Amino acid sequence: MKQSLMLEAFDIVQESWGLAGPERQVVLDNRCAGRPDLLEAVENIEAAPVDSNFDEPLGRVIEQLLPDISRAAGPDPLVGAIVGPYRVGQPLGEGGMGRVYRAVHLAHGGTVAFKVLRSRLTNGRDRVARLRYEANLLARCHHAGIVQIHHLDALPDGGVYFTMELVTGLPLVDFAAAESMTLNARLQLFLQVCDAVQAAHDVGVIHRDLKPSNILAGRDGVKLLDFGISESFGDPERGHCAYMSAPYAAPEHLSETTTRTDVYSLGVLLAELVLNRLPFSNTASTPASLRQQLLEAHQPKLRTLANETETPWLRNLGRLRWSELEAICNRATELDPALRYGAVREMASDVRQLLENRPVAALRETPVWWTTPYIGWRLLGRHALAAGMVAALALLGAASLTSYLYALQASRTIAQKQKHTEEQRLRQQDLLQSLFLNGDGSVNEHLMTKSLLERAIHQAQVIAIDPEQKAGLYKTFGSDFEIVGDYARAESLFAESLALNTAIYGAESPEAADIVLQQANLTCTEGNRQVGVALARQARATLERRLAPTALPVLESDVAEAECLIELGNYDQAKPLLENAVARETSIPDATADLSTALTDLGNVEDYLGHYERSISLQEQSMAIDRVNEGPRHPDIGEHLLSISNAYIQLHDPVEATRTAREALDILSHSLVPNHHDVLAAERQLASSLALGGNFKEADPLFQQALNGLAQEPTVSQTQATALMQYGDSLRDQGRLPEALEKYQAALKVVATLFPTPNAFWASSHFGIAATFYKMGNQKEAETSAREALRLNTQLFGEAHVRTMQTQVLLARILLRQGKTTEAKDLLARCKGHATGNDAATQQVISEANGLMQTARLLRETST
Amino acid sequence: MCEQLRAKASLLCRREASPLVSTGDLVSDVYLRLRRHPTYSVEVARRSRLEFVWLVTAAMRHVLTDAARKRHAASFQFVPLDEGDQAAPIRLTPEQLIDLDAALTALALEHPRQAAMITMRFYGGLSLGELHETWGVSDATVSRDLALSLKFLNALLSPGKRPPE
Repeated sequence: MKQSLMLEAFDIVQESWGLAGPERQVVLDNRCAGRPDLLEAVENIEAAPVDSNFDEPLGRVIEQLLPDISRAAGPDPLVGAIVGPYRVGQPLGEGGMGRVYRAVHLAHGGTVAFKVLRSRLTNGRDRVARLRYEANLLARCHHAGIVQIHHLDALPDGGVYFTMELVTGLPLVDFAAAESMTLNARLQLFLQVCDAVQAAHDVGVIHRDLKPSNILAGRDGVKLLDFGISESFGDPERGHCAYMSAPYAAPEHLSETTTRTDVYSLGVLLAELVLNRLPFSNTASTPASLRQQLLEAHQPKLRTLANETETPWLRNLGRLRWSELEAICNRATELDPALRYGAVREMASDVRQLLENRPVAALRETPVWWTTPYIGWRLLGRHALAAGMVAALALLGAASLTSYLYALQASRTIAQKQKHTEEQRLRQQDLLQSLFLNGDGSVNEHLMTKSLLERAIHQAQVIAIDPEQKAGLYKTFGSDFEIVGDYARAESLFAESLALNTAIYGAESPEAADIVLQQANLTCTEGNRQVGVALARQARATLERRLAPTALPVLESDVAEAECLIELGNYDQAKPLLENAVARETSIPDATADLSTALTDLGNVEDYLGHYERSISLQEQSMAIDRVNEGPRHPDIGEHLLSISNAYIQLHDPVEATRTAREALDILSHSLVPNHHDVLAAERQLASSLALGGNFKEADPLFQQALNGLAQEPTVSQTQATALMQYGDSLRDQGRLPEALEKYQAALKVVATLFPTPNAFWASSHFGIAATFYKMGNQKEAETSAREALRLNTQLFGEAHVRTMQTQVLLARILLRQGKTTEAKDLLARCKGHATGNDAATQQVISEANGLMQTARLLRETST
Repeated sequence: MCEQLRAKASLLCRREASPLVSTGDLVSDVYLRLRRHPTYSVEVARRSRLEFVWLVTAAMRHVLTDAARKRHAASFQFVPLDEGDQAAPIRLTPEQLIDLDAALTALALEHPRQAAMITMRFYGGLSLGELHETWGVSDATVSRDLALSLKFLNALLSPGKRPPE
């Protein structure tokens, strides 16, 4: 084919590309009249693929040659550098907050996008903590439209980097242009964006910088980048707009960001997607001046902005559709956040209505709603026949039709409104609750959560006007403050909530009892367990008067009481309550979440009681429920697996312990950020399981890794104490006795800090110390520690408990070594006499005791 | 820096027989060529980004086309600059390179912007965002220019439809 012909054809392609069928035909008819070869060339070009070698850059020549034409600053020191587990490659792009590079993971070779964020004014560590928190929340929503962050850390120079999957695609608006999309296709694309943003809002993350370049679109759908980055990187002195892209920033962006801030950005985005240009001329040089421009000329008429030659998909768009599009964009970009859509979901629903030719809610407040036969048009207009009926009726009597439609619409509106309020209430609670799901880790997270919580309370005081809603929110906040450990605040919130509920429903109402239950839980957590039990019983009594004894709230109060009893160490009393709850809840279809809680509690009770096999089976049942409710890889599943693995260790089953611990670690390390407390706990658990199986080579480094991570945390924890003890066990089994002793003593120190009054942890530390001294041959020290362990175990668990029995056997061993045969024999006899269980752990202690009895007898015989 | 580049460039000369071309080496060659170019200066580079980018990418194009003309037998394999990169090297025959050069020259007569964009993208590795920045046209225009130009080149250069030289 001749080059000149192709060039001529290319000219025609340029002109006709993106036009609708008939218009394109006109161009082709004009330009190719009597030239079949030219027409063929045009079709050849149009049919040719876009994919091409020539779109694959040969290299970053510009970067290599003069990397800093604009910055005039020498080559980028990051290129080629090794940062964390990555080797940084060539830059892929640059944004307001930093550069993006290609990078390769050194261990597994995967290619990722590596983004560096810089800001001179804020501290790197704080931002890492905050970004981690949000990355963690996002990881929980598993949305295909949200790019997940793999790894996040501080750079040595104070910047922050994170890595994420390398996404190919075009910026949203460009993609629509490149694909010559129709209006409907554009709206569908927009709905995908809404869906992803809503998913993030549902877990409490606001994007804060939505714009086309942060949304990459491809054939596989859209991907949103940089969630929640901008706020933590805002420059406080210049306001967040320092990094925010001005045209998409809502007016309140300078002061306070909410989900409605994202709604605003989506409004601008929708207009841009429809018009292929911003809905206002962006001539302002600063965000502030743009803001002024917008205030002066707010809410442009989209229709007047459409350039129909450049936007063929807007041709022949009816006046009504224009009004609807405008109404949606305007509603989303109201300057007052309270007038905007309350949630992205609502905006998406309006876009969907538009796509399906149904009434658009945004138009309801505008004159169009009533002055044109809008509702009739939209309600019935989508069916040709119905549209005909409307026309016919209109001829018969316009007035009656209007009143009919009015009534129809009014009833719909009321029903919708009621549903809407309920939905909104639930949504608020869900969102707020999910904000704090993560608040169980380090103090840093707690502090952050608390500041978030304060913000949420502030917002709630504005949102929730009716006392009923307020009571609900205060209850939610109270439990959140309880999670983060601010008990005083939790107490006052519960008190306010109780006062509100009492005023609305009366003191004897289930609503009030529900808050009393919360107070019972809180009091128990605070350490005032007797009072906790009393409160739970009071709530139960109230509930029982109003509800059947098998009603879910009554069972919940039983579980609350049982939890207090567990804290008190009254496992025997807790057990029947929990067993009853489990039995009842099994037959209530909607109670699966409550059933799961009760099963877990019961599993813990059995574990405390030394019935490890029973505990495993209960945890497995609870896990099966959570697998269905929360998904197979939810962090909660990891937690269950950890408990199960722990019980297997007690049963001396290294194979099952290792298997479950590995699975737990896999789930937790994939759903939580590295060095999350739970991940470290899982590492500890796996190490301990491996050590039990004698695989010290793999166990030791894992122990050290977990302990290093735990040492980084600002406060000591139970996990740290357990890790030290278990590492001590492992070292003792390897014969590295002085090191083992050191670990146990360190563990005892941690335990003493954690628990002022001696408890099971104290007993375990003493047990470990005793066992090590015994092996070292220092029987005197061994005896002292063993006696202390025995005293504590007997006091805490009673004589029949497997832990007490194990300690008795150890002490007997130590006594035998010292020739105190009589006392040893007495101890062993008592141990055997108390043995009731027939589980594996008890059996093992018994056989050990029998062996020792034998030895004692032999020793007796030789001495006489 | 210049010394380093010279050393690299001489390395490229010694590797004449090898079909493997490292873009890092090409860069050196381009740099040397630029230094000899009458209109190039650091001042130009600072004054106009567009002009600078155009000069660099055009130089790159010439270096490659020249190399292709000299070595008709081998095929070119472009190794991405950063060694850790997992991306497969791009393979091009000398014919493809020469044909592309001719097609771009022809395209530039009627549609200079489109030709320059492809040149900058393919030889210079500019991203869409950078093209948009360099040219000062909208993202949509860049996407459209690139998409249509690629269709044109694919139609023109697909096997069996080589343009007459």
